[in-house]
Amino acid sequence: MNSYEKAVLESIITKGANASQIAQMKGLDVSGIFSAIESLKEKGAVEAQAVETTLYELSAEGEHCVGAGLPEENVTRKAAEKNGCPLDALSDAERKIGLSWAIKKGLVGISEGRVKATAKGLEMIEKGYTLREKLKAKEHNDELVKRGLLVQKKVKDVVVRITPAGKKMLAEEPKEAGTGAIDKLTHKDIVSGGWKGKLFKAYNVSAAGEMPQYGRENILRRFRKRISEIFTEMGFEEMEGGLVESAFWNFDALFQPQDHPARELADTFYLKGPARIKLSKDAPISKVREVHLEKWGGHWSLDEAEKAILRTHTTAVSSRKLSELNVPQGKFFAIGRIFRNEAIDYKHLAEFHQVEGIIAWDKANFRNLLWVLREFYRKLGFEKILFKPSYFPYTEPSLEIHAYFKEKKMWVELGGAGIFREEVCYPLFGRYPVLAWGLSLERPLMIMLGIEDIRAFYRNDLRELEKYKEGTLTWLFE
Amino acid sequence: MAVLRANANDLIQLCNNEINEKEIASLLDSIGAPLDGKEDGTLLVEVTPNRPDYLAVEGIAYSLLCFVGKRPKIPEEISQSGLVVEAGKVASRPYIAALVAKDVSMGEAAIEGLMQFQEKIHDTFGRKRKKIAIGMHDLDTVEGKKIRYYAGTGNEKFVPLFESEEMSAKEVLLRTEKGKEFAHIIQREYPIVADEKGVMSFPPILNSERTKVRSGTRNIFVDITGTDRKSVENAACIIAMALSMRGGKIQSVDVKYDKETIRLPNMRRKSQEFSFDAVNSILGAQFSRKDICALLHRTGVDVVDERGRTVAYYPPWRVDIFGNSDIAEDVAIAYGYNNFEPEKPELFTVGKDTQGVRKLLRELMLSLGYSEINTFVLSNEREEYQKLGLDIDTPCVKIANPLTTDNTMLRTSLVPSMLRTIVQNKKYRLPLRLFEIGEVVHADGKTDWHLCAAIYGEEAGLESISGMMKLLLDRFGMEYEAEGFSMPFMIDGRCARVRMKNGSALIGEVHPEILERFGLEYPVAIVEVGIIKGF
Repeated sequence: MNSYEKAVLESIITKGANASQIAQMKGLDVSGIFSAIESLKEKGAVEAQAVETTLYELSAEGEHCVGAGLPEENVTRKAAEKNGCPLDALSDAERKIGLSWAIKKGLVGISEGRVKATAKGLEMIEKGYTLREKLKAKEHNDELVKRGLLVQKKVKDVVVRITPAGKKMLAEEPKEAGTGAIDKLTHKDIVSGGWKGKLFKAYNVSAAGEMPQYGRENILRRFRKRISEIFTEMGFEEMEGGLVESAFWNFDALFQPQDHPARELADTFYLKGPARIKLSKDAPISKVREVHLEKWGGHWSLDEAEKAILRTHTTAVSSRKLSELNVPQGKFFAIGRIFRNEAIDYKHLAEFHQVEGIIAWDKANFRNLLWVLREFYRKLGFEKILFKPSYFPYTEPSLEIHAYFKEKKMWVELGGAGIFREEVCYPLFGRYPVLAWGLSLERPLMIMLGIEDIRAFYRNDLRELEKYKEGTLTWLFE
Repeated sequence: MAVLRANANDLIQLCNNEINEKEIASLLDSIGAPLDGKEDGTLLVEVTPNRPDYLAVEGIAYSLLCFVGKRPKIPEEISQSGLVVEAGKVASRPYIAALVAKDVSMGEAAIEGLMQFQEKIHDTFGRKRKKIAIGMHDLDTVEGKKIRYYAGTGNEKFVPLFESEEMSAKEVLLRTEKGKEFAHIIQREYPIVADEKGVMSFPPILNSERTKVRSGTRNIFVDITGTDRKSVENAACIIAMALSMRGGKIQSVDVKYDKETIRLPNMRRKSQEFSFDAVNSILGAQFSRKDICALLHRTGVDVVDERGRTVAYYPPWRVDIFGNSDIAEDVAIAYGYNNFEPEKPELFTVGKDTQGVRKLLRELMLSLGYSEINTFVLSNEREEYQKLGLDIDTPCVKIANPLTTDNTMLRTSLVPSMLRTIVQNKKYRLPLRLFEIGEVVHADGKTDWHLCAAIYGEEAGLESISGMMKLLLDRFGMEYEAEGFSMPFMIDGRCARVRMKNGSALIGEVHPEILERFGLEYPVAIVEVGIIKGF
């Protein structure tokens, strides 16, 4: 227990108190007290509740009045002179504010152009002005607030109450060491042999010690790491790509016609700078153009294909990989950020992750695809999965993967997959087929952990994420 | 993905009561139009963009009936209506298709369905009316046999649908709701469809009140205009199928272009050559020819052997069949995806990740007691630059079409998101030790990985963070040199640029003015390193 924690427990041993009061009482800083309360909460020693309290602070004018006196006080002081004080001897400000308050409060009266202190006024001067005392003490007073001398301020505070465990902790906190008994065993004690023949002060061995702080993995990154491990265990090689892509690799190479709705502004982030990404001369531009013209008709524009975008799926990484591949077969995966021009809410983000995979192999087939997906999800802990027909412009057959969440008793769609079309495979790779999938990273984790709001993964509230203890994910590593 | 709202009773009636409501969900899966949900009496059906025919409830009924072996007869040969469309030069939407349906029984559900189809096809397949727009008319109000399609001047007058006064096409764009919504499509010329009496429609904006379809309308004339001939003619085909499913007799219309005349709609089945072996090899299956023919029959496709060539004849309104893989998908859907036995691929490869240094750095940071954070790459100039006292015009990747002012650029440094994360956590136990290994994107669009680490609390200082960095670089055997540097958000004299062999790092104590701006009450020491090759 450190000195702040001790201060908190001592202050609240009899009744609850606010953090700000404790700080004031003990002459310690509030943020230190806050952090002590957090730590005591962890140990179960206190219960804390956030509240909003009202504090009063001096305004600039209030500050002035504390030193120089309130205007009515000053007027009364002048009026207490013998014969009072002529009206025109008062300054403008004194006449306007001080005089009217002084009259209102019955401290002075006016006769024959002179201001004279009343008995009440004289008494005030003798005994001191209580309103000023209140102002000095920043005590709540309606008049002072109304006159703008005190300013109301709402502050967040914490009300703390001690628990029985806390009382026990405090009681067991070592008092001054008894004469001769050793408290903290020191280096000096040991080398000097000074401990010999002495007793050791008994500690409370059942007390919770001080919890260490440690480096905690981000839950989404941890999940990502496990997925990466699963794919490498299954013999996949990782591939990576940039976040900024040309429309060519993101759409055209994947047989998405240039007037496809997904390419519209509402779904895709286009860039102002760089607005265009020049395709390298190794890119299979003419082959892709040919297949578009042949199958979609209309025209195909290089200009459109070179538009710079934020990749909308990691499949852009796959299309690049296929075109660069100089071996006839391979298994690859990628986990990366993707972007959609969507309004953000608890279900949607403009930026999230996708888990991508391809198998390029002459003998690959639909049943292989089903096997790999089933095996992947089995390793993630899903025993039941279902495949449903779906559509993507670049795969045929196409499917959706739905997984069953035992605890929630529900089916959830986790991703899409299929066999890349000949129109995709031949221009990029010269071979067919290629199995491919794009899976959600965030969604299964949200459901496993009961996270309702996808933004939690990016908010990085350490306390919020602490709820999801490593223990709850042990199955991931079995 | 579009969702069709189908009236369940109407769908069952269209299926001649061959299918009950219980069977519908699993059958919808089997025809590739999965059920998304149910709202009293309405089925929500997912429609993928390759099946515009499913945007019409009649198209779904057709496929369901095929699947249960009761394929409806949609005549391939149709009689002529005698109507001719003379298509002039309309550069902005050069193509038109038309058809006539007689003796259609249009109940409420049918009219609702047709309107929904029109709306959905406009929104999806029709690219918000730009590519395709459909107009439906009461044939009995059409005067004469000759219909003209031409580019007008905008002064053509007519009473638009649901209006009571006459307006010119130009006025329609200014005064009607649809006109305002779609005015951007009209450029220079005003496409007009007119009979002998005058304007029938002003595609893709509005039809005329005169020729509108009313309850009790039995005979319908449909015009479809657009920018792509295939799409326009295909839409005509889908509408013809839908009206035919409603008992209508479809009749053709001759469309006369400058150099050719075509008779539409073309209801002849389309053909695609394929190979049984290719289908089996795609699916990894050993279906017999008979199996494949039977499965395809359930999807409405007939297989014919034409002198050794295997040809699939499929409904003319389908647009998703290009080759073997499309035929294979039809076979797989009819067989049921979940009835396939998954098979382990016998391809041996060695697994490998590319995380390398990033993985080691991450482990090292965690072992040093730093907690990992994960923040967005998308941000805005205000948060990334202005708040740190940097030039708001610092070069970076900028979004051309931002949806919000929050996401207008990509970050070039991890420092601002680190400071925001500290703010998020300042109320917790101190000190905070945080790190992120994340992407930054340079103004030229190149993505790089950076490591950023920070300490927040009484003990945060240049010494503690530079000690940490020294440890990192030492672990990787990297030599470095630090020199004084000035950054608007760091304290002068406590900020250094660190140079390594082919990279650099920034290290320092954040200036209290910035701390104040962020509402932070303890010092922050921070380091950002580019993770480069050779690390």
